[in-house]
Order: sequence, then structure tokens, then C-alpha cells
Amino acid sequence: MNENEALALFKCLADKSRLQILKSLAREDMYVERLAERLGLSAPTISFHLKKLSDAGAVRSYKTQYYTMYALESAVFARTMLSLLHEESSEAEVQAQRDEAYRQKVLQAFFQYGKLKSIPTQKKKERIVLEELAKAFEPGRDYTEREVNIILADFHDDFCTLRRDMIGEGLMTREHQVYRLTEGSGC
Amino acid sequence: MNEFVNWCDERTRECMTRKAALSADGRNDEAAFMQIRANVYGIFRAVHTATKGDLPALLGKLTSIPAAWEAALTEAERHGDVHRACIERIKLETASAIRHYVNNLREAK
Repeated sequence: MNENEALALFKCLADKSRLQILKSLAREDMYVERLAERLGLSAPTISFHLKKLSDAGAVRSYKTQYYTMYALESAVFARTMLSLLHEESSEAEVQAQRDEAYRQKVLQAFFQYGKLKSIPTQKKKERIVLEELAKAFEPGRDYTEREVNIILADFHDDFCTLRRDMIGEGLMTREHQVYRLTEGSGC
Repeated sequence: MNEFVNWCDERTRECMTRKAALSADGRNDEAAFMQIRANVYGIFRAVHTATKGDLPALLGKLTSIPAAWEAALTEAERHGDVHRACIERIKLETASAIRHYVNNLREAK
């Protein structure tokens, strides 16, 4: 477990309702409605907390004939606090984690359900968004301008700006109306 | 006009009291949900004031504004976005309670 994962877990645990859910799951695996009845919370609220716990790696789910059951991810809780503190991470690793966290934050802010909400005005943020868009293209494949437009239009109506900026940022090349992902662009 | 405003203020106060209790109990996400409920009361209180107490106009807004939340809920459910869906459901529940109150108020008049 790296520092970011540990932080996410601790943040998730810092809520009484979620602790109550975990305590219940420590006794036995349960489904949403059973937890809701036991803890006096609504089923949507329980689902909300379970999603957070699941994202933090604290619980897992499995399907039975009628219900989706939730279970404690015992391995996570079997670790001691001391083992977390003793875990070493290099400065490069910490920096990479920080960069990734920033990247995720930008992507979350600008994308909703796979669509680009708006084109960032800040260069650094736009670069991150364009790198994400570049993942929609196959490396080494040639694209016509129309194909590029169609792919980018799936993300945002202003595909012309996106196309031009991808060239400007060096993520794509254009030669004789043929577009191609730049090799080594990291996409 | 004051009846609806007073009712909204009363509900908002209730939400804020419950929010404070939930926060004190270490249930921060549920406290945030209570704030969302309070905000919805605030929105329709403002609409009521802006429409100068016109109940049919308020009922119109009580249909048109939640329509966008309904669409957002559908979208969130389609993408498995539990967090967003939970928030949209709370907003819709609160709007429904307000609509129920306004309908009763209108019938009483």
C-alpha cells in the first residue's frame, strides 16, 4: 500500500457511518438492504458509503443468487499501522504519485462520463486533457482529418481547436493531410 | 407569501441542526447531504420571492428545475456514478416534498 492509497483509506475510514458498516461486515457478509435495516440508514446512503469503501479497497462485493453481498477486505485490515509507517517510498515515487494525483484531479474536473466539459485555458491542464484524448488514437496508424475530427467530436464539439492543439503540443503530426500520433509522446 | 417562506426557513433550520448533529457525530458525508437539502429549500425560497409569491409560477419551476436533476440522475445511474446519483436523489426528494407542500397550500387557498 503506497502513501496515497493509505491516505485514501484513512480518509474513507474517518466517518462513523462507514465504520459502522465495516463493523457489521466484520461479523458477516451483508447486502445493502440488510445493512440499511441494521444501521437505520437509507439504502442509497448505504450504497454511497459502500462505493467509497470499495474504492478505498476496504470492502469487496460478490454476487449470489438474489443479492450483491459485501464483505470486509480482511487483508487490508490485517496490516498493522507500524507496517504502513515502515513502508519506504523514494522521492521519485512520491513525486510520481503527486503528479498522478494532480493529473487525476484535472481529468475529473474537465471530463464527465467520458465527455470533455470544456477545454482548459491553462496550458498545463490542457496538455493533460490532450494527452488523455490522444489515448483514443492508435499509435502508428494514419488518420485522415475527417477521422481525427470524428474521434475528437466524441469528446467535445470544438474538435477543430482540439485537433490544432494536439498538433501544437506535439502529440500528433500532420503531413500531407495525414495525421499520426507522435512516437514517444507518452500516449 | 410568508407562509411558504416561513415553512422553507423552518425546514432549512431543521436541516442545519441535523447537519451540525451529523458532523458532531463524525458522519461528514451525511452532513453534506443535509446541506444539499437545505440548499434546495433555499433555491425554491428564492424562486418564490422572485415570482412575488405566485404559486402557479413556483409550481412551474418545481417541475422545470428538477427535470434537469432527473436527467442528471439518469446519466449518473447509466455511468454507475453512485456519488452523483445519491446527490441527485436527495435534491429530487427535497423538491418533491416542496411540491407536495405547495400543492396543499394552493388547494387550501
